[in-house]
Amino acid sequence: MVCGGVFPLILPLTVLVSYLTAFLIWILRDKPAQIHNRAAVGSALINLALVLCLLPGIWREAAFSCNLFTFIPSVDIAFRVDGLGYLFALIASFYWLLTAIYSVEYMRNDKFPARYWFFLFLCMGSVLGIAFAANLFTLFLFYEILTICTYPLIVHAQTPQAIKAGRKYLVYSMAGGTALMLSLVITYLLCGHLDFRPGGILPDSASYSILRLLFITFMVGFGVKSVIFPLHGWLPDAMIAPTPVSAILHAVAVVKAGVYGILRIVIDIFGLQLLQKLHLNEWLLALAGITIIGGSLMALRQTNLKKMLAYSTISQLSYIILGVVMATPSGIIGGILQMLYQSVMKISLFFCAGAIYRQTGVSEIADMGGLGEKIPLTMFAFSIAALGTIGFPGTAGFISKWYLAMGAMEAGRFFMVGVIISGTLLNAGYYLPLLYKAFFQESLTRQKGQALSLLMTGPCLLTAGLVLALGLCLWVHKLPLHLAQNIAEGVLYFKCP
Amino acid sequence: MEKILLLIVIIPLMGAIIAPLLGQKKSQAAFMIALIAALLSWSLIVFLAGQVFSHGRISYPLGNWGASWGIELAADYLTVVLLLTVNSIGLLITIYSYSYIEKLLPEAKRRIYYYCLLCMLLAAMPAFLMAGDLFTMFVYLSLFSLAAVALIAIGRERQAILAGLRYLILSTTGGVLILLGIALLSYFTGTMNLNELTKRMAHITNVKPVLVAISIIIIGFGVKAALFPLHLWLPDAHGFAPSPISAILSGILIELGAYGILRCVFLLVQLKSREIYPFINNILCWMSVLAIIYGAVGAILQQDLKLILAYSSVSQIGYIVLGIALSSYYGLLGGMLHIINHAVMKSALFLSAGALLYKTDKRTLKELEGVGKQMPYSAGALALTGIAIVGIPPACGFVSEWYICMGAIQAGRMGFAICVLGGSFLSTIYYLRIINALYFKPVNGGKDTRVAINEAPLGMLVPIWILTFASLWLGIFNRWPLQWLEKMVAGIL
Amino acid sequence: MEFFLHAYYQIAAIILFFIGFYLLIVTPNLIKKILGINIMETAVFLFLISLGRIGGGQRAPILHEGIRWTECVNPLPQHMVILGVLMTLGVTGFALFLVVKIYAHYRTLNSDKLRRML
Repeated sequence: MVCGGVFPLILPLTVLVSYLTAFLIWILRDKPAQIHNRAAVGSALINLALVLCLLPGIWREAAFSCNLFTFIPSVDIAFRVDGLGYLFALIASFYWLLTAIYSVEYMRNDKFPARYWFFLFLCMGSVLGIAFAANLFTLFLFYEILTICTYPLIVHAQTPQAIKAGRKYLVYSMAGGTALMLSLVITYLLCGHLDFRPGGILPDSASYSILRLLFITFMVGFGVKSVIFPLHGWLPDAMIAPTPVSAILHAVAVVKAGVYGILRIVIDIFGLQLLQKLHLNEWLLALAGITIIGGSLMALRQTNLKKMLAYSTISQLSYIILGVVMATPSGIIGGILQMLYQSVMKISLFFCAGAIYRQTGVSEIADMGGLGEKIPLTMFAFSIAALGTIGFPGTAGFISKWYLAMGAMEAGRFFMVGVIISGTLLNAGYYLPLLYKAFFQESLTRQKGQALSLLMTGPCLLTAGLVLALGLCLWVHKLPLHLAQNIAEGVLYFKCP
Repeated sequence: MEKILLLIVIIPLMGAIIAPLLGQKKSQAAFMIALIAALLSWSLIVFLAGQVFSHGRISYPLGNWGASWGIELAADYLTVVLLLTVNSIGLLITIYSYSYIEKLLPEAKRRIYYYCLLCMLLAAMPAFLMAGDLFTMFVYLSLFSLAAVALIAIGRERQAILAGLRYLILSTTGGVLILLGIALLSYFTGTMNLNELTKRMAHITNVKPVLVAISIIIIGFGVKAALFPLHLWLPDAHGFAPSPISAILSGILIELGAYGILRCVFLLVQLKSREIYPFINNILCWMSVLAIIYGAVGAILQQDLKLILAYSSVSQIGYIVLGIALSSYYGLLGGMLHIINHAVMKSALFLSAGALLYKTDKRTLKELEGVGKQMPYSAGALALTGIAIVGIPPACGFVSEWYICMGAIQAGRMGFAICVLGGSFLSTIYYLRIINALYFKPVNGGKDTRVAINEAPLGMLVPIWILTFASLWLGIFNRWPLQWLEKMVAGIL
Repeated sequence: MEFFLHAYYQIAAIILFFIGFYLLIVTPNLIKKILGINIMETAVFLFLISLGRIGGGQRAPILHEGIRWTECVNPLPQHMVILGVLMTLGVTGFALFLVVKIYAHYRTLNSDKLRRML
């Protein structure tokens, strides 16, 4: 079912609102910061409201589509939203609002506030464009814009280290972008179009070696942003960006865009069946498993809090791919839920990390002793999110990991169950000592933590609360579960809304 | 009606004659004459484009000689699309020149010469594109090169003269080769008219000498287009010429060379099934792939902003020739489209680099650090058009790269597609260096000092931004040029 | 041998062309380089002129009764050569002007030395 009326116009409108806000802020760049802040939060609210308008339709398994214009013969710039895309857009715009509020306080004394907001809004518009893309080309278009617009945010501090990190990011991403373009060209020549269709569009009459090559180039393309094992190098360095940027971009928007791209490739371009026929799912599972374990092992070695969180992200993201590629109902539900819950936990952790830095100036793990006493509220939120990431029962993380493990059982992949469990143990291995240090060790300095504005503690507590609520209250959990079930049905039975 | 073709050439030529007659002091008047000539020929071209788009090819035989004998001016879809691009750029550069030349050449006499030569360029440009036979092409390309040499050498810098002479020697050698090739070709086929040649190609019995003749012509045009091993003149000439002239060299001159190669390849394609065709084609493809890589690496190694852009031109001309040489449907389309796109974006880049040079007198990236704050509009145009060079969608560079890539795969040359993409990856790196220098390097050792805005005059900013928007517009609404080029390619293959 | 006797124009043109090319490539002296280009162009003109002899005739191409086209010269190559000579004249003149300027600035005409100074 495809809905008509004004609803489809919401899709380009949400993208446009973010872009226009960016330019509005650029025009008002010499005005005081309050005006920027108001415009930013207002636009984030409008975005969230627009996205929520689509919820009733999506709930009824409808899809919205809106064609803009033809770019290349039979390839349009077009928007279309189904369950998966909607979920991505929803989490992006919800966290976007929180990040906007958080940034108001965090970036108070910044040197270039207008530039920060300008590129942040461009990124946001691009992320929504990725979520709403109706075909691979539209996705690619916004993906590349996202790549370019993230660069100024990473080098925002303008220190030599920041420029180095930015260069690393851009080189990785552009290499990915070129690989992606190559795969788009091949796909276009094979299929004649680039639309997303459940069950895949690639003909299985094509030569298998070409299809395998195509899959590899696709994985290189999207693998950079979704930090799959050999392509993850840029993410820890990019943590030099301001914390809200790390939060929204490196825990939610950019890395999720990569994962979302991979899901689209797996589900709508190749199709799970073709993937199995080519034995590519085994490869992908192996890669995801390596990334889960490897990322966690690297996180164990980190001494900087944000870098540890970065490696934790690398490890957590691969669960999503793991779940979907297993191609069982529970596995897909688990993957989708992981996409949702991982982001809420991770953004909470980043918000807290930023708050800790602001309150006490601590950014190294070694200095975290006694923080539980100094800044109880922030550390409380931090511990809930950390426990959630581990998969502690009663938190959101438990539910997604439960479904993932069930999915692995259903698929008969007991080795993967082992991977999930050992990943969880490793998670516990680097989060629990940290919590122990914060709550049970003595502080090295007597310096007290500074009071923090509600604008920063609010988002921390809200996201932490959400982690608990999603894990404990069934009715809160119902919305994501319902959407995930719809998506799983669509993926497995090619149901095209 | 057909006489418009002639008028388009004659009006700027008259301008070139009148401008120096006005007197030694009146450089303002010379500027006005150049401007009026450019505007008139531009509006005639717009009119002509309308006619050609609705009625098809228009041709005008000079002196009523038969088509295969005399000189013929002709305008088909490709010609008209290129004419529109190139002449619009010429018009904008004329406007831009006013402020720039005022500063560069303090003596009024020299400014008058400048405008006179500019008019000559404006006349030679459309004449070359509209020429229906190879010899006329040769004559007008030589005229264009001669005027260009004079304009390169007109600056105050001593090296400019040397760079100019170097270009003169190389381009004349190229011209001699073109003439030799034309002579051979007409000896073996009996005509120089392009249409007639295309028809006769199918019936040629003795293929080898014809292929050799066409190859010699391609080498000649390759010198003008600065195709890889023949590019030696390009960096110095671009670096030391006045910026509007660098824009003309990069945005128009090498495109004209590529157009010459394109016309030759149109002839070659007719011999596609003959014996040594693949050999020549392969050489051309490899030359352009090497050009892509060499130019991009050269650009990464440069320090001077204008030299970076010059090496980038070497790389971009590789894209154009590769697309053309692949001579698959998409490849030809992409190559032709890239002629237009590269003309627009590279002239925008050189004009904005010129604006930075005009205001700050700084050339190297090191010196230019932090200029983005001082000149937000010029540097902004540079940053935005750079995206097109890198090939990020939806800017125009992406579209042509897409088609060239498709063309490479269509021709069964996956490796070339990877080289094209590798080139665009390398171009990211030099683009990144420019952007970092302009915006992200700490100014004054990290101390936050507010920089006063000191922008170039409006007469320079307007052409820059028109071209910048054009580079985006051509990317988003790429169907406009492509629909005409598609018809052209379908007719050729 | 027969061929060489018939094609002496063309052979002379080729020899001249390579003499010019040699000068252009090998000598560092700018004036000699310009000379080389001139010789190359002359060679091409010679070649072009030789193309005009279609049937071996040497009459002006004014057709009236009793004269067949084989008795005439093809006028097209000649007009090309005239245009070409004019172009060469312009180019040479301008090149020499630049050489004078360069000599005034650098006091040398050796292109190797000049490249080092650039």
